[in-house]
Amino acid sequence: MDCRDARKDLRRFGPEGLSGEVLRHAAACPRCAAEARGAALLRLGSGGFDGAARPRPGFAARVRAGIAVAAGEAATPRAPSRRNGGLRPRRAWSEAFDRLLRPALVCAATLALLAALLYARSASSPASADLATLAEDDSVLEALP
Amino acid sequence: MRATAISEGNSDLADDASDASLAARAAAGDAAAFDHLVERWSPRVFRLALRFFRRPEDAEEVSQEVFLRLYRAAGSYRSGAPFENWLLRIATNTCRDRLRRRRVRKEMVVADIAGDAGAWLDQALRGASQEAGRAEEARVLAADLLDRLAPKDRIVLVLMDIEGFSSEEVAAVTGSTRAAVKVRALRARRALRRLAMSIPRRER
Repeated sequence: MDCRDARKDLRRFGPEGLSGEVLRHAAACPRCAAEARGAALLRLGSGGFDGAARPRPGFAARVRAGIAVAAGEAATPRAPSRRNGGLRPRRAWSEAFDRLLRPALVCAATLALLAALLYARSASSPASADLATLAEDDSVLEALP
Repeated sequence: MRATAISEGNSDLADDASDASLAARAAAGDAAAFDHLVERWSPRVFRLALRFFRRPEDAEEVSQEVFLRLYRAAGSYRSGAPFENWLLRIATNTCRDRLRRRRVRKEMVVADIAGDAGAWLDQALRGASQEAGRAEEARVLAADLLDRLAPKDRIVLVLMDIEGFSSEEVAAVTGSTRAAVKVRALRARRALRRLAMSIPRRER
């Protein structure tokens, strides 16, 4: 038996296993041995050899129910959230927030930031007169020997 | 391959109504026609899903998703093409998507496999019967290992080597060309060989 015949048998092999001839060939041919192990792995892992399996009774009804659920999800509007109590003005409120309040908040935040920057700048650079006053009035320095 | 027994009460539809006419009626909103298609084709889709998803509940979930997709796409079916190919394309795409998601979640290390685990492969090759518990364990391990293959590779291998499809049939089902399927099969077999050889051999 050559490799070509062995491969043909490998494609057809079932629960009865391989013929002795193919097994002998595979024992002497590493490539066909690998092919045989691969074929065995595929058959074992692909549902064995049972060809009579059927879905459980009522399968069509379950499919129908699945379709109904999918259709319901597609058709039903999104349920109002509990957070806003399901009130319709939520949408109008959001729009008003986006149009008016959000820009106003951005402006206020910018102004606050500018004011903070100005204050920090003025506080970090004291006038020279202030420094002199500090040095003159420092009692700790004067108490030094 | 076609199942003719229709169990639920679709009395206005003949059992031999063509798939194309049923699909057209289903697309127009005829629930009975859609049920007829489900009854007729669910065993085929379920068995294909079982090839990829060992647990029957997983295979059934995938089958349900297939028919949900079929319901949504029924209007796009063109009666000139074989219905089975169209359905199997939806089924293989659904299986591929699921396999991708599962592959991302599960990363198994071959080195973790117990030293004597290769014994079941040798037993399968010889056709030796195994104890039921051991046989189930072997199937679980084999299925886990196959999850390491690229989903497209696995689909081609299952369709060709397990379902017995020709490369032309696989091309029709996957929407690919025959040449592309052959190249894919070649690569997939190489990956499968590599995977099988990474399993520790039986101690002799």
